[in-house]
Amino acid sequence: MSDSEQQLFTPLDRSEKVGPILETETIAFWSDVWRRFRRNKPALIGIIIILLFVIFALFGPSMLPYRYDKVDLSSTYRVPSSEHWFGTDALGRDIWCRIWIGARVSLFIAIVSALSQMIIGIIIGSISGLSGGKIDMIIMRFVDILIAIPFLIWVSMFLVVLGPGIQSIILAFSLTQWKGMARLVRGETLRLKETEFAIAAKAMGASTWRLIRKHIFPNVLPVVIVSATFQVTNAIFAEAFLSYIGLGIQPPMTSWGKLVASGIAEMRSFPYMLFIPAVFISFTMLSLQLIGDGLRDATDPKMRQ
Amino acid sequence: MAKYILNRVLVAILTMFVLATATFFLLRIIPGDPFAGPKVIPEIKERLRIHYGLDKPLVEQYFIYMGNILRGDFGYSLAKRGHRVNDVIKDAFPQSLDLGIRAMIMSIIFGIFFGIIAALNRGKPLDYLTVILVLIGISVPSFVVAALLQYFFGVYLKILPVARYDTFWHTLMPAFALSLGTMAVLARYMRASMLEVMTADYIKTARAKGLRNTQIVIRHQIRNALFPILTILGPAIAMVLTGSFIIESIFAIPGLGRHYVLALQNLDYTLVMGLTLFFGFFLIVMNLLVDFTYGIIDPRVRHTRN
Amino acid sequence: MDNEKLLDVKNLTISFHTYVGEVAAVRNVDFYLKKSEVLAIVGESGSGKSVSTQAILGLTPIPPGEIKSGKILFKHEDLLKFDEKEMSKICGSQISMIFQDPMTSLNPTMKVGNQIREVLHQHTDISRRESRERVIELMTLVGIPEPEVRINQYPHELSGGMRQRVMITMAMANRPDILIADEPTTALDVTIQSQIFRLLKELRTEFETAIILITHDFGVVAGIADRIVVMYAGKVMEEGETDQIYYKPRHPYTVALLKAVPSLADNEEQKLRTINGIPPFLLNIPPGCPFADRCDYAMRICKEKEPQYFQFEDNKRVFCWLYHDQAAGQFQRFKDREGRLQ
Repeated sequence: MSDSEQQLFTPLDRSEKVGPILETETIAFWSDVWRRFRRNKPALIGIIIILLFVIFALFGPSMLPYRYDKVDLSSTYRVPSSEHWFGTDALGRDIWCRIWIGARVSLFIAIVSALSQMIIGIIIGSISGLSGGKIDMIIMRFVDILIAIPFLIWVSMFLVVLGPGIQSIILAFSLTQWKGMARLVRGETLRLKETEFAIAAKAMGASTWRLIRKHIFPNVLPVVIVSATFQVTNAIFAEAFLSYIGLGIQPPMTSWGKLVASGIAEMRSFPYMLFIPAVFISFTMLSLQLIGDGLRDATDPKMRQ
Repeated sequence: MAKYILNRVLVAILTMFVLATATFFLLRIIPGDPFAGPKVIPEIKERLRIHYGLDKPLVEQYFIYMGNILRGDFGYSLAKRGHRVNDVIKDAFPQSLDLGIRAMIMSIIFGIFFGIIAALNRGKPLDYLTVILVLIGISVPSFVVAALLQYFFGVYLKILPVARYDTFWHTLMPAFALSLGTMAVLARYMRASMLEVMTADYIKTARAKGLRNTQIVIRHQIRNALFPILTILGPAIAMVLTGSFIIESIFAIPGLGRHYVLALQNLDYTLVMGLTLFFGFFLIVMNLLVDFTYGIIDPRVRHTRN
Repeated sequence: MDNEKLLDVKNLTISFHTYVGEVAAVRNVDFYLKKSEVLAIVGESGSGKSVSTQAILGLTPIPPGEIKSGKILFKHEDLLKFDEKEMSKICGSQISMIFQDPMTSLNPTMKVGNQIREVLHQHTDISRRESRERVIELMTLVGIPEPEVRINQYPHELSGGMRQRVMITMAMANRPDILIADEPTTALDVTIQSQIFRLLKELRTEFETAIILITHDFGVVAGIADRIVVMYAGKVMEEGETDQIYYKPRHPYTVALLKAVPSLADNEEQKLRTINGIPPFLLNIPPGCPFADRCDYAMRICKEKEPQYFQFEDNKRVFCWLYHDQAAGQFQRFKDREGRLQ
C-alpha cells in the first residue's frame, strides 16, 4: 500500500467540497426575450421584411421621378418596365410611387390604431381589474357586448356615420378594437393584485395611477405587445376592406386597400395591377404574423427553461 | 347547468338590447338629416315619418324603434323604393346562409383534418407544409384569394362561372374562398391542441395499457383535442359572416353581405342599421348555441356546473 | 418462492438530449425482481428511478431520450429489443404501471368504466357484456363502493383515492405478473395513502403479483417492501433487504434519508433534518461519487474516482469507498457516529 494511495483515503474538509455549479445568470427580462426571439428564424425574416417595407415607404417614392398623383393620360395601363417599375394605372399614375405612398397610409393607420388601442385597453383593463366588484362587472359586460359584434361591422357602422377619411378610420378603429386588449390587461391585473408587490404598494398609500404605471404596465407589456402586433394585421385588413367598399381613403390619396380594389376591377385585362399590391399586403400580414408568433413564444413564461 | 344557461341567455338579451339602442343613437347623430337626404325618395318620406315617428319627441321615437324591433320589424330602406328591411333579408338571407354553411363545412372538415395531420407528423415535411399553407391562409386577404380564383378558374381557364349563385358549380369558388381564412385558423388550433394532448399523462397511461399508436390517436387524442376547438367556433362563424361581405361582392352573389356593402356605399343608413341589427342578433344566437353545445358535450362542464 | 428472477435489469444507461446538452439520467443501473416480491426503489427527484422503470414498459420518449446500453430481461427475453407491437402485448397484460397523479393520468372525457374495459378488450377476447360485469367485479375487489354507479362516471366526479383505485383496477385487470407503482400516493392525503398501500399488499397476496414501488419517502416503504434499492443521481447507491436497510444502512446517503424521516419519538422542538446541498445537475457529471459534496464522510478519493460496488451476500451491495480496506479509519468514524442505527 503506497503512500499516495493512502493519501486518497484521507477525509475531505469542507473547503474541498465544491457545491454544484449553479447557473445563476440573472438576465434582464427583455434581453432574454430578445435572445429567444433571435433564435426564431421566421420571426427575424418577418422583421427584416417589415423594415424593408418601412424604408421603401419612406424613400421609395423619391426613387422614380414621378408623383403619385400625377395624372398622365398618355401613358395609361403601362405594364411594369424600366421606366415605370410597377407600371401605371388607369390614369397613367406611376404605381411604384403609389404603392409606397399607400404603404405610408396603411402602415400609419395600422400602427396608430394599434397604439391607441393599447393605451385605451391598458387603462380600461387595469381600472377594471383594480376596482373589482361592480365597476369591474359593468365594464366587462360592456366589453362582452362589444365583442359580440365583429370588428368590421362596428367599423362600417361608425364610418357610415362619421364619413370617410383617415381621421375617421383611425377613430373608428381605436374606439372599437380595444376590447381584446382590455380583457388581457384585466386578467393580468387581477393576477398581479394578489402578489405582495401590489399589496405592499397599496399599503404604502400608492395612488391608482402610480400602481398602474409602475406595477401593472411593465408586467402587462409583453402580452399587450403581442396582441398589438396581431391588431395591426386586423387594421390593415379592415382598411383594405373599407377601401374596397369605398368607405376608406379618398382619392387622390391612396392606400394598399385602394390599390387592391382598383386591381380587382382591372384584373381581367391588367392582372399586374392586382398582383403587385396583393403581394405587398400579403407579405406584410405574413411578416406581422411571424413577428407576433415569435414575440409570443419569446415572452411565454412557460417556455423559459 | 340551468344557471349557466340562464346566465348566457340573459347576457345575450342584454347585448341585443344595447346593440339596438346603439343603432338608434347612431342613426340620430349622422350629420344632416338622413331621412331627408337626397337619396330618400319623396314617396316614402311619409311612410318613414309614420314608421319611425320622426315628428315625435326623441324618447318616444326610441320606444317606437325598440317596439318595432321587438316585433321583428327592422325598418325601411331609404334608397330602395321603400322596401322594408325585412323584405331584403327574406330575399337575400337564404343565399348567404347556403354559402356560409358550405364554407363552414369545408373549413371544419379540412381545417381539422390538416391540423391532425400536421400534429402527427410534427417536424416532418408534411408538418412544415401545413404550417406554411396556414400562414398563407391567414395572411392573404380573402378578397385577393377570391379575385385570384376568379381570374384563374373563371377567366383564364374558363371552367367555373364567375358570378351569381345558380348551380352547384357557382358555389364552389365562393365557398372555397370564404372558407380559407377559417380553415387556416382551425388547422392551427387543431394542431396546437393535438400537440398539447400528446404530452398529457393519460396518453402515457394508454400506452402502459398496451394500446397501439393508432388506437391511442383515434380514441384518446383526437377526441380530447377537439374540445377546445368548440370554443373558437363562435368567432369562426363571425369570420365567415364578415367574409361573406367581400366574397358576395366579388362574385356578384345576391346575398345579405352584398346588400350590406351596397347599403354602405349608397349611404342607405336605415338599411345599414337594420342589417347590422340582424347580423348582430344572428351572431349572438349562434354564439349562444355554440355555448350550449359545448356545455352539453364536455363532461367536465356538464358536471361541474352544479 | 422459487429463486428465479422474474425481471432482471442489467447495465441500464439512459440519456436525454436537450438543447443544453446530454443529461445522463440513468447510469449503469442494475436491479432485479423475483416472483411475488415487493421491491422499493427509493430516491430523490431526479435520481433516475422513474426513468429506469418507464424503460421497462417502453415508455421512454425516444427522441430526446436514448437508451445507450443495457438489457431488461423478462421471462428470458430482452424487452429493449421488442418493437412497438410486441411491447403492446406485454403492457397492461403481463406488466402494468400506475402513475403518480391519477387526475391527469385518466382521460378526462371518458367514463372510468370504459377506460377499464379498454384494457380488458385490448388483451382478451371478452365480450362487451362480460367486460362490464368483470369491471364491476374488479372495482368491488379493489374497494370502490357502488361500482354500478361509478362505472358511468367521469374522473372528475371521483375523489383522489377513488381515482387511484380506478388506476389500480385498470392495471390489475389482466392479472399481470408485475405491477410498477410510480409514487402512487404522493398526490394523495396521508390517510388515503395507508389505504392504498394496504390494498396493494392485499393484491400482492391475492394475485401473487410482484410489485416495484417507486417513492422518495422512506416512511411508507417499511410496511410493504421486501427489498429496497436506493438510487441517487442515476446510480444505485445501496441495495438490500428491508430490515437490513432500516437497521443497518450501509451508505451515508441511505443513512441521511432515514434520518430525514420524522419520527414519533422526536420531541416537538426537533427541527426537520435535511441533507445539505442539492443533487448534482446530470449535465456534466463530475468524476467521482455523485454524493461526495453532500457526504459527511467523504474522502479525497470520493471526488476523484467513482466507487466500486462492494457485495455482501448476494442481494446486498453498496456503492461507497467507505467499504474499501484502506478506508478503515473513516469507516470507523461512520460507524461510531451513525451507531444508533446499527
